Amino acid sequence: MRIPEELRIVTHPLALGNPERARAVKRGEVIHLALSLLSSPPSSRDLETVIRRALCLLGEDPKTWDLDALLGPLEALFRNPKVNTWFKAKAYPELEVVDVQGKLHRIDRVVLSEDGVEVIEFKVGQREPWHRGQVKGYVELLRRVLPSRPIRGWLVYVDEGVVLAV
Amino acid sequence: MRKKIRVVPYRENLLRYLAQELYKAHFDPEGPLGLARITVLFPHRRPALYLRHYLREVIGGPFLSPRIYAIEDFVHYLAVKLEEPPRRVLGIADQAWLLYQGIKKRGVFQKVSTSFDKFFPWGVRLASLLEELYRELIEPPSVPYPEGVPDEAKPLLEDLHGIWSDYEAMLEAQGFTTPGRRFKEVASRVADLELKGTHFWIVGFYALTASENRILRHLWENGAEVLWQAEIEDLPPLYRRWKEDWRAELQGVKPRRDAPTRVHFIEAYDLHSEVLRAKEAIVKDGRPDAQALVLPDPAALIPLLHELPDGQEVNVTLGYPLERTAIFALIEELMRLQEGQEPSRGYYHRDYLDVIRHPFVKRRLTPSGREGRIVLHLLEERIKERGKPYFHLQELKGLIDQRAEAFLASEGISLQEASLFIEELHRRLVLPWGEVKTAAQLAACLREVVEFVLDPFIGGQLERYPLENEFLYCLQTQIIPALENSLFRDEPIGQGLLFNLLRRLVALTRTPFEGQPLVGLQVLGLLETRLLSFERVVILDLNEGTLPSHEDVDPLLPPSLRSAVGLPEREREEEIVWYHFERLLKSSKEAYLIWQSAVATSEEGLESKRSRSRFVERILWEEERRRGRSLEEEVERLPLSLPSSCFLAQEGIEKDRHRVKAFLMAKAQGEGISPSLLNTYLNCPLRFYYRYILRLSPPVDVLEETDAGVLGEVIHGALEAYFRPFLRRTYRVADRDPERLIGLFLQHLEDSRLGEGLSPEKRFFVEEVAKFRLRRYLEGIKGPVWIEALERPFRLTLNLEGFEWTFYGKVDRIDRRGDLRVILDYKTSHVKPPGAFLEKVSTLQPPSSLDYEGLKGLKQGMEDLQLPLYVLLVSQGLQEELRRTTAAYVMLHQQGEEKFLLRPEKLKDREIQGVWVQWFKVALPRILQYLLRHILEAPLYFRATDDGLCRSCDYEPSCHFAW
Repeated sequence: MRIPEELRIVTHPLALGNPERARAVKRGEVIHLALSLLSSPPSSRDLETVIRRALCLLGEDPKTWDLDALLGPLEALFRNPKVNTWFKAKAYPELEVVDVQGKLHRIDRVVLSEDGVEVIEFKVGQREPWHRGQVKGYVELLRRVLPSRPIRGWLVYVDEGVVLAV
Repeated sequence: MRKKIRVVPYRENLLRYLAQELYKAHFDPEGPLGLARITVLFPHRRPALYLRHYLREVIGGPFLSPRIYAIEDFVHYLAVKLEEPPRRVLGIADQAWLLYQGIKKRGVFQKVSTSFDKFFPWGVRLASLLEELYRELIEPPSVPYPEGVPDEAKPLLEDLHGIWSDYEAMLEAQGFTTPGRRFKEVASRVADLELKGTHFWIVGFYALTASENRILRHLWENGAEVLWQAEIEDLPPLYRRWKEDWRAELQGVKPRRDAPTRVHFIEAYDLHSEVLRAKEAIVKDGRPDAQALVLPDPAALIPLLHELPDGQEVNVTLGYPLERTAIFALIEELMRLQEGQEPSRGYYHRDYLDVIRHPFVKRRLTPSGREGRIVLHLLEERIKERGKPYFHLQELKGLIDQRAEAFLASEGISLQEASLFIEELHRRLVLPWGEVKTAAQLAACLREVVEFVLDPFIGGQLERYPLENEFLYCLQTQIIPALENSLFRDEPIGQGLLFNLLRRLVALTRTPFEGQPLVGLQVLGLLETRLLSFERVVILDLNEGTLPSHEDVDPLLPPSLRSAVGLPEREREEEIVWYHFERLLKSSKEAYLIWQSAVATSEEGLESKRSRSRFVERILWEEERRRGRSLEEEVERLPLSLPSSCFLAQEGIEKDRHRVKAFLMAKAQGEGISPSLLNTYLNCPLRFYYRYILRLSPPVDVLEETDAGVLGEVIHGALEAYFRPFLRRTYRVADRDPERLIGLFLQHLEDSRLGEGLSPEKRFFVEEVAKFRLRRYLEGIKGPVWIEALERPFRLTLNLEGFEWTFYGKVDRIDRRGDLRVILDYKTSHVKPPGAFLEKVSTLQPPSSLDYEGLKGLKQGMEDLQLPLYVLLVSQGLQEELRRTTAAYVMLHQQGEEKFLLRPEKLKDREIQGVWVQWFKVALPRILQYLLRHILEAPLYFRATDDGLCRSCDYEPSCHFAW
């Protein structure tokens, strides 16, 4: 008796043994979703609203979250003029791109401006070596889809308030 | 001009058509952002994968995907934008809790609101009803004098509007909402939503709720494209109604395939024959739209996965009931362990054994990394040996003691480590459940259970068990949060109530498997096939009750009352399922419709032949009309195929004659051959083989029922002790002392395994019955008897075929009654009395052949060798002694009635006496000789000579030859 090794289903990471990690993952999801809900540079009140919306969309009880701890890094982030610019321009949040193998990639934010396309990846938590490679991959992918436009990649470390060109 | 709806025929692949239309309308290689500006709405999530798959085929390179939403996700996304501030969505348990709070205050629902647990099933139904009403944009009306509903439901319906008003007020005040309420909100304010700048495609919807209808119609009236799938000239009823409602003009699409679907009708025997036939129908093809296996009943999933051919990539997309999983089985066992606990006696052993036998528990390792199951097996053995049905956990500490040290050491486990392993199991898995008083504590217990079973997987093993991973994930993300984040998380609730709450919550939960990345064979539930098209479709379990499924009548709102609250009739549900079935079937080139025909046992224990689905009948009828002839003979009926290994090639197990000879000689020259040994062989040579040759001990188990063997020993011991003072003396009626006998019985009972094992009520019953029977037995002894022997062994050596054979027997009692000697054997349970013994055996000749039939013939002529052998042993085969010796069973359960081999008065008859003596001197030795030869020389250990014996045989579960 066996289950075929060729069984292909989505398997989700289990975080029961590590509630802190599970919470950190969820925090990242909330911040990503909140950023995707913004269509212009936000006020503090706007930020709180989108955080609450993100929590609700993810089925989280806002009472179990420290809203200030979520708000703080985002408020700091929007003090960065570059980030503000990205939220003023025509943008595609959570843009889905299908590669030649049929794999779906979801880019956090793609901004169209007169002088090109900005590919922005938000990261919550610590820096990891693979982050740059991921953004480079997105840039390469978009170059194949939008060959006539200059494309630049950006890594945004939300907790640090740092924006890095890739 | 009337707005249009496009109707894609069944024979066109809807999603491939959509991809081509999107490509034509929105894709520009110079400006490929066009696709990213459109939004596609589907009734569910699965079609998104296929749409991207077909877009990739059409575009031939990377592309920006349209936004694709399932309607449920889209509505939640819009609702969150509308809500200020956003509201928390309550799950079903919290909805029921909030309703409970409101209903308690209304104070008129004593029958359902005395406790949350009692209310919960009604709460779930009530919450579901309100959800349906929200989606249908109906303000719940009260239903005066509802008929045909239980008393508990009446006040809920009679005051439905008031209950809903309170519920609404609480949701509003506390910042909550529900999924259905969000649909209502979005539908009510859809005109206010900023939806400009994106072009909508609404694809593949069939049955719309009122809120969906309002949302989608708004989009359509503002430029959205709508695609249906149906035959335009024969629209299904809900499309006809939709067309009229929207006043839409229909625009047909020409199909690319003309040939109708080739349908195979297959009647299988049972699930396994269905699965084997399905396996034949599928081919190796990696395209995700090549073939689908559709399971209307998810129970078929696991057997199916085990049968799939090697190398066959497979996606599974369906909801599997959480209550059927191994992890929930363990949780259920832990709850039962607590529920079965008696405060003074402790845990019930069977519940405890169920826990330690669970595969997830047995898979754990000891602290040094040895297999924990070794310790658990040993613990189980010791619990059974100990014999107490109830125990406290601390009593188990001493069970794995010095006796086990050598065995454990051979497995690399020390006594201390074994003890630590068991302690950890108790500390983490068992004890916390005893402390549960709130939903939050219950959630913590569940979390600990999952972590406990997860430990052995850590180290990368879990990826080998993707299904288990998802079951655990389902617990982690659905059940545990539903309890620990619930509105009633810290509310003190009785343990039993909490456990029932958990059971009901789990019963409502399905683990959603999602097949990704898109590859090969698709295994899907029927609802998951919506909008998808496959070249070959295999649908299993097409039986009545499965498709369409057997709908339990909602006790809160039976079908007759649905119109009273403005809801559509239940028939609509079947119509919807039929549409999806027909669409799936007719969109394929080839379809295999398989159903089961075997007799099935219902939950009520009634057996009935399963009948094929009315959907099959409908398709069959359509096919017959189309072809102009009956197709019943073309139904492929799968035979019940049994592998040849099911048929026994031999009548028993081959005999190792040297081994059996060595055993029998050792017996014959040692303690002697007992009647019990000979009877065992006569009844069943295989049992003789298991017991005497292989020396397999019958399983030891905790005594809870009145074990006949142990009770027999107790009574034998009591009677021996009672008559002991009269050994070699005369026992008279005046000596009768029932109180002494009962005292002895109670003392022997206390010292036996039954003394500790029996529950107080069973013990009371055993004592009272035994007292009654022992009194009646003593009353039945009318005359004086001289007691010659008690529990006395006898031996006799006979020369049979040149060998010396010693026989042995220990008789319960021998009485001298007048000049006769009567051997008595106490029987506490039923045995066949030796009626008309001499008449039967006087003509009995030992069979000539040493085969099964010969032995069976002997058994038919002579049921039992015990009393005849006792007579031979006690008389030592001497003519003078045989003349005055008989034997009887004392039937203690029949007032001590004595059932004689030959009644004493008959033994005095000279003629009968002559036959009696002759039989013992000549015929019985021949019979013994035949039996010994059969044991030594027959080629096989044959099966039982009486099939009824297997039912009570300890070896039956593992005997391949049991009847």
